[in-house]
Amino acid sequence: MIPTAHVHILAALLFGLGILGFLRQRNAIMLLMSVELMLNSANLSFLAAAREQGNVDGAMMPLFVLVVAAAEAAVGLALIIILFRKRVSLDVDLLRSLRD
Amino acid sequence: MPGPLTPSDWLLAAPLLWLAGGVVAILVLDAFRPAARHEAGLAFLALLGAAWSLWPLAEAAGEPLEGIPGLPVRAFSGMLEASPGNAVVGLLCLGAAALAGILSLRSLCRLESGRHRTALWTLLLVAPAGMLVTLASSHFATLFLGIETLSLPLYVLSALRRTEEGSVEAGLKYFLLGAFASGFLVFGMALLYAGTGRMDPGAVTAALEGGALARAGLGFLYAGLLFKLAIAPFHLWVADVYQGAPTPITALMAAGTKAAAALALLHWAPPAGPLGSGAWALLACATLALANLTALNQENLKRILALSGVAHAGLLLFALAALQAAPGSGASVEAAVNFYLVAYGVSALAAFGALELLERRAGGHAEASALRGLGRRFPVAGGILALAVLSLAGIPGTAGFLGKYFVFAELVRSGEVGVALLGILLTLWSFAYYLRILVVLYMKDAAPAGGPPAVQDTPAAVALWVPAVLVVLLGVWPAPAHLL
Repeated sequence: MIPTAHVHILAALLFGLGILGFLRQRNAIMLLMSVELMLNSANLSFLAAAREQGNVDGAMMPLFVLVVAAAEAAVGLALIIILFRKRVSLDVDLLRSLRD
Repeated sequence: MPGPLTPSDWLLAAPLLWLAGGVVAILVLDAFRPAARHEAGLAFLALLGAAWSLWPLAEAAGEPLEGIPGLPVRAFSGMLEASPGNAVVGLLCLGAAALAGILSLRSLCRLESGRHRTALWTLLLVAPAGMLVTLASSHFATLFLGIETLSLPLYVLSALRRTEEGSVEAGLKYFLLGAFASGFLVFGMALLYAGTGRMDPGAVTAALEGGALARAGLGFLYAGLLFKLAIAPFHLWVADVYQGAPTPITALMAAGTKAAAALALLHWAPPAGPLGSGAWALLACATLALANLTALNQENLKRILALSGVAHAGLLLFALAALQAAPGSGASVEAAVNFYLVAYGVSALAAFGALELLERRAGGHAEASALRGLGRRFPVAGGILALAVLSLAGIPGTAGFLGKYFVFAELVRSGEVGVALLGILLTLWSFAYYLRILVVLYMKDAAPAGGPPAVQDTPAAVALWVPAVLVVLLGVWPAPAHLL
């Protein structure tokens, strides 16, 4: 059996990758994918911890997270489509109309 | 083990069932009779029903808790937990959604010949449902689901004016940063669970005694929550989102989201930790100072009010600092926070609501140059905005003053007199930009009327009196609310 600590390390690496992607990428869809990576790394941690603790509390959370991630993807892609129709570009650095 | 549903389960579930039922009814009727204009009526019915079913709990506010069996109310095997004071804040969230709806009747509802009506009204019911879950959450699952249920509708509502660049930008920015913060929140929960094996607020206490894993989780969890509450350094999105979103939606965000996130933070705050009250007080002072500094240079009134909201959220952290310094003061600190949230909520609703009416007269612009002198031309809307601004500033006689007074009184009682003095000084500094709004409204020559003449909006003008009267009433007669 894979030790729980190893799974947590993998999850932390994926989470870090998600953060890095969110901060470095400029394409709105890549940002969305980075966030999904962060959410799924949390799922991995939850499941590994649930196996170690031996209760279902942690195994139940990924179900909720998956549903929310799907809803987020739906809302996010809809917003991205509106942006693309207006700008013909997905570069988030162009979002600069709101400022003083 | 989960047993059969108990009366307290129903007490907390009933408002959610009303709201969810309203959503389903609107969507089903829309599928069969798309031409009928039933959405608004059904939505108000659902909001009224939710308020009615929340009322028995809210009514107990101020009575000694020992006298009422089963309080605070726990429901669904301890996943939700609410007290009468929280129920009053829940009523505020429902009221904010109702006011946002009334303000939208003549503006957002008519966008693109009403094609957005179904989306608008269903989402205006889902958002307060998420707020009610969040402010009563006492389990990771309800905290996460509540925060997402309140956020997702607001992402869409912010971008509802999809032909306007600012609105789409606000929605997308709010969405991207909100989803990023959710990632932190969930990862923090996962680490806390891995480190302590618990998913209730007890996990926070256990984490402070536990290992590095759980402590790191605690950090991630608070980063996520502080983002939702817009505490520095996570406050940068607020001004952009509040500016770009349609003003009725901004009112809902300011009053409702802030209240729900603040109560969630209070529920999940550590009882007393190694960081102690100093960390919270430091965050509070930094937030107040940054918000004041930024607000002084803003031209757009919506941005000024957004940063005022940031400052108000920062002030709330003083209550957490008081809780840390005097761990036994839980009940009175919670009462102070509840009153503060209601006071800020009604002031923000009055401010953004009146601003929406003035904005329409100024051709949809909220810049100081477009709004100058409008207070004299439109005495009612201008007067309500001025009153709300006085309350946000904390002038005696308004709800905002008493809200700040109760928080600082808790801080002094816990022995942190120096921090309290610093906080009061920072609050006085904020008068500068509040005064500027008044100067813009009354002391400048009126701008020439721009854009097409605004539609007469009687429902909004009438509904605005409710928060305006509450601002004065809670300021001079806080007895019904100050023992929340």
